[in-house]
Amino acid sequence: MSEEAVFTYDHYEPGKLYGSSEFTVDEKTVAKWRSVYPADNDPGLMPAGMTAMISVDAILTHQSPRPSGGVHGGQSFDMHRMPRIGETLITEVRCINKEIRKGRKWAYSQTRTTSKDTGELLFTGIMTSLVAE
Amino acid sequence: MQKRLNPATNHVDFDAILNYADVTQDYNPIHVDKEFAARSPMGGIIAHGTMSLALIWQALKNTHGADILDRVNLDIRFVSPVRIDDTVTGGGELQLDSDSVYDVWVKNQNDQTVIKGTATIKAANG
Repeated sequence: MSEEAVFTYDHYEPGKLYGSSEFTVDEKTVAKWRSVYPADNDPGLMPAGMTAMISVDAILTHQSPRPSGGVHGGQSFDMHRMPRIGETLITEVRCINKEIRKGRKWAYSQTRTTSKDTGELLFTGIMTSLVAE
Repeated sequence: MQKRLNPATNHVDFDAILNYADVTQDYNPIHVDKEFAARSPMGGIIAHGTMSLALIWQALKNTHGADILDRVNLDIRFVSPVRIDDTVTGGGELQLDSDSVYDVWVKNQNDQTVIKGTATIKAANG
């Protein structure tokens, strides 16, 4: 897909792997997060809310540019181990389903995040998107 | 299993939204551009949905400790937008006759639900 092509409903192909993104849970990013959420201060542990940031960023990297007006309708996470500060993560992005309900186009993007060093599965997620025309 | 999650609250002012956009690198104009947002169907700035989702994680941690976060299956829907100067609270209640599934939510200062779903605590060896 060219850089200019907009990622529309037709570009969602159930079963297709769109790519993977790398993210290191560095102290600087965690400090920024804690400026918004001071209570997320467990030593050495990535704040749990960052799972959404990592998943959404990977999806928007590999399934974009999107038409404006789309909606993040839902989100699920299945945790296996919370990442630690300093750990490097690999997040794969895959489309697992799409459907038209009541005239609205929905797409389901799955993320699978593993530790780069060990390959250990850390968490999976599914982002439900209402796709704009 | 404790029946009610210890809630977590956050006041969402515009600076907080901008800080969240900075850390997540999500500068969708519906979140950060007041003029664009005013012209959109939303009629004004809305906060990132995932910004409020963080409060459910905090409520789970407040109640059960950080270790339990490794065993959570969370499934939520974003049902209403969060606006500038809303105060949102995340919490939940254990489902009737269940010792592992919470109905979780985030509500604004008017008791309007903005996020709802379930959090299932998986077995320690699962």
